[in-house]
This record gives sequence, structure tokens and C-alpha cells, in this order.
Amino acid sequence: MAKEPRANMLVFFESCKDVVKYVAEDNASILGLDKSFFDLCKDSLAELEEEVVIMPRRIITIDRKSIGIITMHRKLDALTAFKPLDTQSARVLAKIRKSTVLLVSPNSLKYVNEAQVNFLKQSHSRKFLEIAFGEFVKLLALNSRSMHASKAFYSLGNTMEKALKLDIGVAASGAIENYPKCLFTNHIDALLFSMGFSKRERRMILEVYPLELLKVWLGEE
Amino acid sequence: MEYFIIAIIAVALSATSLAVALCTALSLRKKVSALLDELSMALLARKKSKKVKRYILLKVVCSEEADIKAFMMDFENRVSKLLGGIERMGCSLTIASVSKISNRMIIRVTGDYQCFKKVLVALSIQHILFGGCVAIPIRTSGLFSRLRKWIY
Repeated sequence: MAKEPRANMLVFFESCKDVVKYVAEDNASILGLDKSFFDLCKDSLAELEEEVVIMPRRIITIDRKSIGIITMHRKLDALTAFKPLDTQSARVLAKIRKSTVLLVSPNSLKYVNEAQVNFLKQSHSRKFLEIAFGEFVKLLALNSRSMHASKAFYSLGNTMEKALKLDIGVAASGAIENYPKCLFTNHIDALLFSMGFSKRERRMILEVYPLELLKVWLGEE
Repeated sequence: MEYFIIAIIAVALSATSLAVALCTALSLRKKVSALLDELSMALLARKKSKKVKRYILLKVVCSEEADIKAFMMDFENRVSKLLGGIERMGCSLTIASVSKISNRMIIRVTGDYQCFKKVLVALSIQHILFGGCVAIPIRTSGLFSRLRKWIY
């Protein structure tokens, strides 16, 4: 079976051998690894037989106090996703004149919502949303009481729908804990299907936008 | 005088028969409409509970210490626990075929269409909650024969 060019933007691993196992089992062609782990396993990753694009990733949490980091942390050694924890930082991220990735998780969903998508659309540069599906699934699996799962999924669905409608890039990541407690690309596809997204929309999220994001990031570099 | 009495009786009789006919028609109409309502409700209920059968081809990936046989034995329990008791009223899941060589299995989901979606989500998150093996849905179909060729 030929691999579809699907992407899982972030997966956590314990050892370098697990990456080989994951790549063999999943049909992801683009895989994001944590920057520190990527540096550790550089050599063993070079020996991978599968045709997979592996990129270093970094997640940075932004709030009112640490808003200055946004400009400082634009290092190109890893694809950085910003997780805003207040409205002010979310709006600042939307106004930056460089392509930026915003992480959507249950914590940041309040600030990266439909209104924020409108701001992202008005931006001069291409903006992307990265949906941390792993953290949303945690709400379902671990009976978290911090936020109702149905409310979170409803809000997430609306945000994603609005982003797709306005052509804001949407990518997905399945990191929860270390492998194998993660979401594979087929699991993400099943979740999107159950949320009511069509085949075309699922393809855009799993294949088209991640490729575009990769192209934009490599172009910046 | 006699003709007058006969005419009054005739009018009274016709008025009574008209009243009886009117009452019967009204009650019949009520009963017929009630019956029609019941029939339409039954038809709707039947439509709502229309069962769909879908087959899902799964690939089972286990870590070295996990036992794949134990996982397959416990598989239905895991998904049932995630679905919950009320959801299981209209949604059943059975293992249709297992290939121990390729670690693949086909499961049959019977229920409404929402049930199929919920089973897919349950399959996707079961390893996070229970640990052990990961079940990756590869293909879905309404026909078992279409998936059989992928199980090797």
C-alpha cells in the first residue's frame, strides 16, 4: 500500500528505536519531533529506510508577561508553535508580519477561537493553526473536570470549520505521552470523521496544509 | 292533523339520525386520526432504529511486553467500557475475523450510523486509557468480502 502524504505534527518518544517502530506502523509521511529529542537521535534518524520527513518542533507558551519572547524565539532550527494563554498574546501573534503557528489545546481554545480566526485572516502573512488532538482526547479518556469535553469539542469544531472556510492553515498533532500512548494519523482521521468533517476537509488537514506549512517554514529558512 | 303529527315525527327522526351520524363521524375521525398518528410514529421510530452494519479492518500494534492474544480477548470489553452502558443498547460490536500472522482483525459494528462513528473514536482512544496494544483502523466497508483481501 502506497503511503499517503499525511502528517502528524508532534509525537513524543522515549527512545530513538521507537521512532523506527512508529514510522513502520503509521502511514505518516511528515513527522514532528521535539527539538531536544531530535538532536539526540539525529544519527539514528538518518538511517531510516522509510521515506519520511522528520522535522524538529518546539512549543512555546505565551502569556502577558512573556509576550516579548515571540520575537526573540523566532529561531529557525525548529518549527515553533505558540500557545497563547490570554487574549492579548493571541492578538499579538495574529498581527506578527511573519508566518506563525498557533497551538490550539483545551487551555488555549478560549483565546484561539472563531474571533481569533478572523484576526488571523486579516493578517498580512500566512498563519497556521495546530490542533493538539492528544490533549483534547485526554479530556475524553481521563475524565478531566477542568472543561466539559463536549463543550471543548464543539468549540474546537467551530474554530476549525471557520478556519477552513477562511483558508487558514490547519494541521493536527497527536502527542499525549511517550509512544505508544499517542494518536496515529488514522486515529486523527477517525476523530475528524466523528466530528463531522468531510473527506476533502480531512485531507486538507492531514495532507495539504501540513505540506504548505513545511514549505513556508523551509522557505523562511 | 294526522299528517302534521307524521311530518313532525319524520322531521324528529331525520334530525336524530343526522345527529347520530354526525357524532359517529366525529368519533370515527378522532379514532382514525389517532390511528394514523400511531402509524406514522411507528414508521418514524422504525426509521430511526434502522440498523447499519459496518466492518472495520484494524491493525494491532503491541509493545514487546504486551500480549496480543490477551488484547484480542479483552478487546470487546475495552470498547464496551468506553461506549458505556446506554450506548451499548443500540450498538453492538463483534470480532468477525482475526489474522494472527499479520496482527490484523475485522470487527463488525451493528447499530445506527452514529454508533459507527463512536466506535471509531473508542478504538482510537482505548490504548490511552487501558495501555497495551494500539488498534489502528485501516479501512471501513459495508461488506465483509471487500475487507477480507486486506487481512492476508
